[in-house]
Amino acid sequence: MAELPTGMISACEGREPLKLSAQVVVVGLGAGGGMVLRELADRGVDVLGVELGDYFSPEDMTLAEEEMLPRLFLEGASRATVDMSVSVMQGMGVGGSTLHNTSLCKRLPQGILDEWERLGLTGLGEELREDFEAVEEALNVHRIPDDRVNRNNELLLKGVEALGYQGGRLAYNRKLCQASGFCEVGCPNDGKENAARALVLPALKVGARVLVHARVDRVLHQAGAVVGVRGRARDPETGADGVPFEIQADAVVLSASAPNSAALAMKSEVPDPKGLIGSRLHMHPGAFVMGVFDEPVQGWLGVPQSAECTEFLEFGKGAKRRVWLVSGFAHPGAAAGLMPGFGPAHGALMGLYPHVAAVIAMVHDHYGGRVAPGPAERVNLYYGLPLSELEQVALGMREAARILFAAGARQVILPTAPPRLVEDMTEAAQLTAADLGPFSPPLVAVHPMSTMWMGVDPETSVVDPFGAHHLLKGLHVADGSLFPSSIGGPPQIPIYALARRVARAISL
Amino acid sequence: MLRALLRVRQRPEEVAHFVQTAGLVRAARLVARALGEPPPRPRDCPEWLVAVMDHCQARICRMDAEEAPEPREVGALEAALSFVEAMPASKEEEFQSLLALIEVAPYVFGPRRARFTALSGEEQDAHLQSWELSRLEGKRAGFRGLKSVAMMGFWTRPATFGWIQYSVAENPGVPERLRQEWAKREAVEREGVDHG
Ligand SMILES: Cc1cc2nc3c(=O)[nH]c(=O)nc-3n(C[C@H](O)[C@H](O)[C@H](O)COP(=O)(O)OP(=O)(O)OC[C@H]3O[C@@H](n4cnc5c(N)ncnc54)[C@H](O)[C@@H]3O)c2cc1C
Repeated sequence: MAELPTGMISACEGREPLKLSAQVVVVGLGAGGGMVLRELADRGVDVLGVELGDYFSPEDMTLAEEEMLPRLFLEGASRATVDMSVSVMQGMGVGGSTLHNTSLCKRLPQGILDEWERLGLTGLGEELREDFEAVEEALNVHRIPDDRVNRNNELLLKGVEALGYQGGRLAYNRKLCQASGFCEVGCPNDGKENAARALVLPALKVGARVLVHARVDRVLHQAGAVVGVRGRARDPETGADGVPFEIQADAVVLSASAPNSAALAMKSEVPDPKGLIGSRLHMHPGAFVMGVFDEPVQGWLGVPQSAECTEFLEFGKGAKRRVWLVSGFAHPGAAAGLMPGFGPAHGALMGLYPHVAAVIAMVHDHYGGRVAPGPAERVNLYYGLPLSELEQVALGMREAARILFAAGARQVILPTAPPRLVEDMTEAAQLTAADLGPFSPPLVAVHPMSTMWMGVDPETSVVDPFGAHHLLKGLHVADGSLFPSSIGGPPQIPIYALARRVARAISL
Repeated sequence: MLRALLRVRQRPEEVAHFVQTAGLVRAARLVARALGEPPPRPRDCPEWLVAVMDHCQARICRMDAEEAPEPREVGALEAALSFVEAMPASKEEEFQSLLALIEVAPYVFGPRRARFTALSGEEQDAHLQSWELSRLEGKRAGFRGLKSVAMMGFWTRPATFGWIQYSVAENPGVPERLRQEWAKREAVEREGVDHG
C-alpha cells in the first residue's frame, strides 16, 4: 500500500467507528469527483472526498495484469451486465476510471449539444466552452504527436485514409508519458494528467481532505435535505468490510460513477416519484475486431489509443449509423479472454497476437438499460441489446473489418460464436445482426453513463442542468450519470467539464 | 430465500437474476452435500473445487504444440485463483458455485456418470464446448466467466510470453527498475519451463 499524501487518511486505520464532518462530502474521486474536490477546495470550502478504493503512486504499478486489474477496477475487474454478456470495466481508487483509462480527449460533439438543447438544457454554448477550455488547460490536453502513434493506430489511420473515411488522430491528456503502453494496467511513469494527479493532489494542498478505503452506503437525509453520509471501511487487500463511518455535511455530491451513484441514490431512498433513477443506463458497448498482418504490430508498445474513425457516427433521434470506431488493444491476459474459442485452436490464435491490430466498434447506444443496487459496491446492470443496437454492432464489425483489410490485413477475426476467420471483405460483409446475440461477440463497455440525467423538468429528469437534485436539497450529481443521452465518444472531458460547472453552482 | 426474493423490486428481470444467482449458489451447496464435499467458501476455495479449476484450465489453455508452455507447469492455477479471490466475496462464491456445477454436470447430463474431473481430456473438452455453445444463456455466461479467469491465470505467466513474443523487460517505455525486475521474472520462468 502506498504511503498516503498529507490530507488523505484511510478508513481502515482505526478500530473505532469514525465520525467526521465537512461542509461538502464528495462520494467517489474519479473524473467528476476529482474536479468537484479541486474546485471547492480552491474556493476555500471545507470539502471531504470519500473514495472506496486505494491511493496509488506510480511505484505501486507492478505491471502484472492479474495483480493490477483487480486492484484498479471495481468488483475485482469482474463487473458485467447481469447476463454476463457485456463486461463493464470501471475504475476504483483515487482517480477512478481516469487512473487506468487511455486518455483520449474530445469535447461533446455539436450533434449531442443540439440534442441536449432540444431537451431544454441551457448554458451549453459559451459557458460550457469556458468549462471545456479550463479543463483542457488543467489537464494538459493536446493533440497526440505523430511520434506517439503506434503501429496499431497507424494501421487504423491507413485503412481510414485508403477508404476515404472520416477520422484521424485525437487529443490526449498526458505530460510525463513514456509510451510504455501500460495505461490500462496502471501507468508506472505517472504519465497521465488524470484526476488523481491533476486534481486530487492539488486539492489536498489547498485544504481538501480525503478518506480512502471507505465505501459510502447511504446518503443521509431528513425533512427534504441531506445531512451527510454513512458507510463502512473497506480493506484494500481483502475487500472485507471494516469499521463504520459517518460524516455530517450540508451538501453531498455523488460522483461514484453512473452505476454506483444511481445504486447509492436508490439504496438511500432519494425521492424519485417517477422511478427515473438508474433507468437510462447507456454504456457504448463495444466489439473487438482483429486483423492479422504479415508485419509485426506489437500493439503493446507505445500509446495504446490515438486514432478514430467517425464515418459511421451520426447523432440525433433518427440516426441510422451510430458507431464510433477506435483502435483497440489489451495485454495478453485480457486479450486471451477476448480471442474466440479455447484449447489448441485458441492457442494458435494467440500465436498471432504480435501480428494483430484491433479495432473496437463502440455503439452510440440509444437503448437504455437499468441499474439496481447489489450487495456492498456490487451493482446489477440490466442491459440486453435489442435488435436495433445489434444492427449497429454488426455495422461496426463489418466496417472495422473493411478498415483492417484496407490497411493490409491478410485475415480478420470476427469474434462471433462460432468465430468467423475471414480472408476478404466479401465474407465479412455478410455479417448481420441475425448472427449476433449474447456472447456473440463478447462485448466490453467502459463508458457507463446517463443514470441520473440533467433536465429542466422534474417529471422527466433527475437533476437540474447544474447537477442539483430536483427534490432533495443539498444533493448534487457530478459524474457520468449526468448525460441525458449516450454521447458517442470518450466521456472523460465532458464529465470533467460538467463537474466543474456543478461545483461552481454549489452555493453554501 | 423467499424473504430476500420479496425484498427485491418486483421487476421480472430482477427476479430472474435473483433466482439465477441465488439458485446457482444454492444448487452448488446441494451438489457439495450430495458429493460429501465442503460447500463453496470464498477466500478459502475447497480442494475439490480447486481441482475442478485445475482441470478446466488445463483443457481451456492447452496448446498441443511441443514447445508450448503447459498451464500446469507455469503456476497458472495459483494466478487464476488469486485473481478470483480479489473479486467481492459474493462473486467468488458464485464462481466457485459454477465450478461445482461443472463438476457434477456430466454426472447428470452425460456423456457418462462421472464427475468432470474423472472424464478423459477429450470428454472434458466436449463438455466445456457444450457450455461454450449451449443454447442456454446461463451456461454460455458460465463458460465466459470460466474462460476469462483461466486465460487471465495462464497468459499472464511470463513463461507464456515467448510464445507471443511479448516482454515487459524489453519494453523501452517501462522504467528501468521494473525492467530489471521483469527481466529476472521472465528469465526464471522461461528456465523453469525449459527444464521442467
Ligand atoms: C479501460 C478504460 C479506458 C477508458 N479510456 C477512456 C479514454 O481514453 N477517454 C475517455 O474520455 N474516457 C475513457 N474511459 C472512461 C472514463 O475514464 C470514464 O468515463 C470516467 O472516468 C468516468 O468518470 P466518473 O466520474 O463518472 O466515474 P469514475 O471515474 O469511474 O470514478 C468513480 C469513483 O467512485 C468510486 N466509488 C464507487 N462507489 C463508491 C462508493 N459507494 N463509495 C465511495 N466511492 C465509490 C470508485 O471507486 C471510483 O473511484 C475509459 C474507461 C476505462 C475503464
